[in-house]
Amino acid sequence: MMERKLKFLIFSAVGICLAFLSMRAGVLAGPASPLVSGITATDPVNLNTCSTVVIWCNATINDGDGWEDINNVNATLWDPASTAEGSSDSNSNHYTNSSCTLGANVSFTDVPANCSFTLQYYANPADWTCKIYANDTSGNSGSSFITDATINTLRALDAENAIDFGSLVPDSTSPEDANNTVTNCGNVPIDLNLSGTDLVNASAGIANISVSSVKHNVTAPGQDYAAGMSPLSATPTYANFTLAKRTNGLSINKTYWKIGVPSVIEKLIYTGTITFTAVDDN
Amino acid sequence: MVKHNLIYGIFYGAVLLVLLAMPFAFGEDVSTSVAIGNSPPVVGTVTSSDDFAPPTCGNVTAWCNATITDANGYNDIKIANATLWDPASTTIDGSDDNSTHYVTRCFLNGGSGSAINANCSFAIVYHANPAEWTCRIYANDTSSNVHNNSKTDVTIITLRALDANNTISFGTLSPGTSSTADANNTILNCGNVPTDLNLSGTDLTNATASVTNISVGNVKYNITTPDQQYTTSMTSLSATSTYTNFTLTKRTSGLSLNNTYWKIGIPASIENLVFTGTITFTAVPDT
Repeated sequence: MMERKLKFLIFSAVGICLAFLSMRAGVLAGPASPLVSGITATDPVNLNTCSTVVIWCNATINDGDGWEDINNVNATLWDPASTAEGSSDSNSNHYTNSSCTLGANVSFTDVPANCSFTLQYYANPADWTCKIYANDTSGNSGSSFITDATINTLRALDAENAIDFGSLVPDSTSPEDANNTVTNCGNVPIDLNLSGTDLVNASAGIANISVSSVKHNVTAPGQDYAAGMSPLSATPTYANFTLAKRTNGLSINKTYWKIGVPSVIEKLIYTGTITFTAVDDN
Repeated sequence: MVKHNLIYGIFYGAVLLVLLAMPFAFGEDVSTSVAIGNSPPVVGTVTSSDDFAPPTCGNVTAWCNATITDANGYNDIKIANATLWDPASTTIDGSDDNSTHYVTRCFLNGGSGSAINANCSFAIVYHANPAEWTCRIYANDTSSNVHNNSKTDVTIITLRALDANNTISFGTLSPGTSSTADANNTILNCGNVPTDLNLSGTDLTNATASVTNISVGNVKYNITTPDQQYTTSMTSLSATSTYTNFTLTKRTSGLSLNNTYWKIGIPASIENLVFTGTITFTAVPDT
């Protein structure tokens, strides 16, 4: 009898062990989902005037089945104040990277993912969200995000390099406007501060051309020199230009310039400078 | 030391945060240029010497002046010339001839700003026509633009003048005789109009003479024809100025001159002395 009880106990114990091992073996064989953690991003982002800048959104990807099980990492960067994660890409508020770069694994299960975005100069100034997705070979995925990737305000412009008033005789004013096209090279609407220098020639013996003889109208072409235009000054002076931020095509507007020539001035070429500065749109 | 490092660290960190928080703003310098073109010169009001007469058989400097302006500055005025002419007898394009037409290059001085003075002087010869002359000043700039202005009432007044040889020597004559040959005196028109003559004279005297002198009436002349008979074809000089029709033309190119012919008659009784007197030639209007 004792022998039979002992056998029973032994077989029971073996059975329990086998059942446990069977259960354990079943758990080890199931696919593990990737985990995204430790997201960092370029912050703040300073855009480049009328150009692009490459920024990063990085994370560590973990897969319990081993890092090699991760077959794709992608990321979305968007401005949640003006669009949704699932929206189409827009240089102003939505960027995607469909194939982030995986770095060298740091363990059997962990590997860094580097997600770059080439941001245009007119990407919204805001706190953007960067969300990184990891997918493994079993179709499992994981994601994580940060919401405070700040893109700074870029207030910038590009003006044509030169304004040529042509040839004028003494004591005359420009019969027609000399135009200068200004491009918004930033990510906010802008007005202008304008200033300038006298137009001079080093060999002039009688007169140069005062900066105030240069006049502008930043909104309306064909204005009368005396009555419809503002004189330029050596001191930066605000002009209400309201050049919108770019959304699709370039955001440009013309400015209109004329010059008045003194009554007595030598036959020379006089040169100066006008400084266009982007300022807050009011 | 640690405390200082902490303070510096906080400070630089704060500066960095401020810089990062600042919105980026950019401006751009645009070059401006204008080429000043040519403006022609302008000759202002012409002023001149007026009512002037050249000196007898000499020259006088007359002038025409103007202020020339050029909006490109006085240095742009390259040259100024002037023409002075008698429009009643020639044109502005006539040739220089001393009588009716003069051209001169002006002296530019006193430039300032747009203006410079043009001083145009002419050496006017004595036979320049008595008339209302016109003076026109031309200014050229460096771009070959030309402007002119004129003054039409530059008056040269009449100069009626002559020059005679200084002496008439009748040579040696015996008492009771007269000159066998003419003593000539050449008269030169030294003015700017034709002239006739007024003639007068004095007795020929010698302070030591006790018998007689030679009366002015013994001096005779013929102002047109030489070798005339003393008694029948010559006119006696008088102490009173007497008109004679000489018609000595105004000079045009060469000198305008004519001879006058003189003889003298000697009293029958007269001492052996040298007697001297004076003849006065006066230019008078040609009639």
